[in-house]
Amino acid sequence: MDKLLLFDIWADYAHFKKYYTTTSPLTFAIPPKTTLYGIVGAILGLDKEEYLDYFQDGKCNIGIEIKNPIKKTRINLNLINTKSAKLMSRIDNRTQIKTEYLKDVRYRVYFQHQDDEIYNKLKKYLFEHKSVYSISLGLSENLANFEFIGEYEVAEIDNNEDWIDVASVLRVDSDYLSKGDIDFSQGDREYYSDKVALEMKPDREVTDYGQIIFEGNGKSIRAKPKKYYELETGDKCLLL
Amino acid sequence: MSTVDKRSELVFLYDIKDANPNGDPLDADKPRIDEETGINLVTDVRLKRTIRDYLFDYKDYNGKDGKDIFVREIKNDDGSIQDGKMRAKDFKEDPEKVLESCIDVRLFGGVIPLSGDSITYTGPVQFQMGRSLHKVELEYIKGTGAFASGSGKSKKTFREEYVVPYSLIGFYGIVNENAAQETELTEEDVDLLIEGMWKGTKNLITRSKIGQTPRLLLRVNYSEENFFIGELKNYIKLVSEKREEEIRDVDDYKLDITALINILKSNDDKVESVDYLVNPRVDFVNDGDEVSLKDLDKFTEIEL
Repeated sequence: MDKLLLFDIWADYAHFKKYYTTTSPLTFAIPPKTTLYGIVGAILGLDKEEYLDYFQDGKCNIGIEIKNPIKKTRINLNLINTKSAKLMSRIDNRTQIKTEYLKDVRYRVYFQHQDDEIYNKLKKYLFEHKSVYSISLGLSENLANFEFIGEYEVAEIDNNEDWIDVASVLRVDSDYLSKGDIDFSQGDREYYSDKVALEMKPDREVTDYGQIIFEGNGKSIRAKPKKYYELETGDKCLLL
Repeated sequence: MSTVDKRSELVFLYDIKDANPNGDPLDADKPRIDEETGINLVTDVRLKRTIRDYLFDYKDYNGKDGKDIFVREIKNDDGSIQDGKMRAKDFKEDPEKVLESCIDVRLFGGVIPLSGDSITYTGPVQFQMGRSLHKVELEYIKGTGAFASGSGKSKKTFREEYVVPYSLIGFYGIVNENAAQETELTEEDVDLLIEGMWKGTKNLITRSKIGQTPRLLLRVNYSEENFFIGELKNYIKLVSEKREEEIRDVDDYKLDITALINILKSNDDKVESVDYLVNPRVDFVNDGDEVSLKDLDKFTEIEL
């Protein structure tokens, strides 16, 4: 029987920049898996140039559950126009950028890591509410806080053919789940889809993007994945 | 000068009356409002600007004697030597030198462009977006300007603006001792940061910011390595008999610090001390009783 760590992370505002937006930054609704690598790296104090070394070759599985309804807002930022600023810091004139933010976000993170040292250190730090570097959701001003929920035993269920209620976000372009395996008929659900980065090489070249389906208010989604994970609490999730 | 070696968290409250704490440049320069909740917003960069300008104007971080501000308005430069190309070149070739002279890079980090590449320093000091502790209503003011809108006209132009009648704004920030090693942030720098927050807020004497008054500043210092409580500002509640939108003065409410005292107490073994600055007109309540910060365990007033 495997184990995983559960913790909540939240902030007043968050911004996970969509890689295909340049001048008007839009945000994903959920933190990409690679962002969570960075946050875990900051908690553990891994160097920002090296933390990705610890998350290569599928060593880390992460599930993301949306706890607060996804709300987006725009904040107009008055930034330095670096085209005319010497050293990018001597302000000649400014440029106003409409930036999309998420508001009052809270996510539950399911965390597994093959490296016991990383896993146990994270468990200890979450439990003691310690973080080596300051953590934020996407941008430095989105300072975040976290809470350890617990360590749970988890069973991997293979060759599933039943409909189950999944608490976490779902990847639909995988060999264990496709769009047809999701029951979109539940009336009180809002379904959204984003394509987010999942894996990244140490030089920050993204090697895997995933098509993610999630429910906007954080409700469960009924689906029929061939493979899923069941916690000792009975909660069911998919790990990215 | 010793490098910062302990984690601390900051809470800073200041208020403003009949003015505009942070205009939205893409929305008629209105004060920023979270439309869903009626809460007034101030960006973290506005506060950082206040601190930088104070250190530049009053603390000699103006490019002389190896003391400088990295991110600043060109119009603030008072001499041709300082913005000369030579000096920019000096910086460009030596990021160490930027770190050594620019207090704002040591505090807030920065990106230093090099030919073909750049160096990024993560700031040990970070602030959240500032938020008012109560709902505010915008007021629209119209008046007569001092000048005509063009030459040859006989009438003066009208001017219009939006202000908040009153807003008590709260900032939460964190000082990270591990990131401080990278930028060699010293305790003296943090003292100047605190002075800049307090006095810089008072010293903004432009029309839209005049009357801003710092009301409370807390710095909670931790003895336990890497530990922090987080979101300290949220442990302070504003209590008033008036409707939130009707608050017009610091006399109209009290600050309930019961939750703050409780969370500090429950982490007693990890909290080393609490430094504070307070404006005498602020009233605090703990568990229903009036309380003074100087009577609290571990609290010490900062001398500016």
